[in-house]
Amino acid sequence: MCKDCGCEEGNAHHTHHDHHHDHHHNHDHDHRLELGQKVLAENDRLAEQNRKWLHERGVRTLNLISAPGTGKTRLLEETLDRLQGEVSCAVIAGDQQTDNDARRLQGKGAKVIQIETVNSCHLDAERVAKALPEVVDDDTQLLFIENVGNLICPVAFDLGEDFKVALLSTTEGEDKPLKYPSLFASAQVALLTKTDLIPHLDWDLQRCHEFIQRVHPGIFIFELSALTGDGMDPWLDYLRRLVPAKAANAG
Amino acid sequence: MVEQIKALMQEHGIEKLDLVTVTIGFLSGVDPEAFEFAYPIATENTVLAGSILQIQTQEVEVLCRDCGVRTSPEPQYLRCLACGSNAVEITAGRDFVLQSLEYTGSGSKALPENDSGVT
Repeated sequence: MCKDCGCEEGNAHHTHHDHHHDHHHNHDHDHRLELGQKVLAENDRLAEQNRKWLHERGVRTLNLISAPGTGKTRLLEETLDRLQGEVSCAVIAGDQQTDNDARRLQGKGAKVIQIETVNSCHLDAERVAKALPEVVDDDTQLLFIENVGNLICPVAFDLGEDFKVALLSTTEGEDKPLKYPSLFASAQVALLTKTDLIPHLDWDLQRCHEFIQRVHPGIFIFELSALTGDGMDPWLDYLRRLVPAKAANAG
Repeated sequence: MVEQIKALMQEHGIEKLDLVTVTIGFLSGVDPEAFEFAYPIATENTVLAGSILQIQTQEVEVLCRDCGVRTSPEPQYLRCLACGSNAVEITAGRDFVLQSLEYTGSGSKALPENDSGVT
């Protein structure tokens, strides 16, 4: 029996599956079912439902993705503080364990819900669908989904957001976009965080910009420090412009 | 994916699954090696157990807005390989698709309506 595909007719015509994924099966199996189905079709369907639900309520949604420790929660703390009373925000925060992030984001005028994913390294559309009615109300204009800290898996799971935001902190190395191109290629906006640390690091801002533009030509890039507030204004203006017309009544 | 295949096996009356072919794009967010590593573990003690996973990787393809040519640059440096412009749109490379199932023995009768209509 062929140890590669389990069929009965395989002989020594090929060796064990290598890592180039170029293993070809020339021998026939009894039956073949052609599919061409998306593996994440069910997630995509639920994500589309979420998107429709959010659009019906006039909510713009950003899916924030980065490595752990890039400063997603710190950025949201500062963002919610500064938009309080002006733009009505809500947050879904995803982590494997603890509701620490949700607690940090309380008291800033935004509804916050924590999703503990336990063994999962990403949020999915089903979990978000369950959280939406709890966190979005009639006033909500802007929903931030703070994904689980992970540069890879969350990229594959559409949650129903309008677009993805990739965060990269100055402590992570400017070549991360080249190492993890999928995230930066999928995101509409990239945020370079912790820019206050640049003087203390061997970190090249221009190279970082160049690398991000290489994997996603034309992407919007913001540089900011939530700690000092440097660069927060362009980011906040960008968010204000995203908010649909009902923002005009918010004042 | 295991659940998806289980449903398909039931729908088409497949008892012994031999080969599962999946396409993974370089920009899909799925790591082919991790996926391959996980497959035997994820399928253990299921009706998929013993089946082999075959992964076809899908290159990135971009369409140049300047010269209109489609080329396949490396994901680390998206640009038109024909004219060098970086005004490009990603047209392929994001797929994560279950392409086909190969199986031996019975099966084959599709019962689209009256079977457990899980899709």
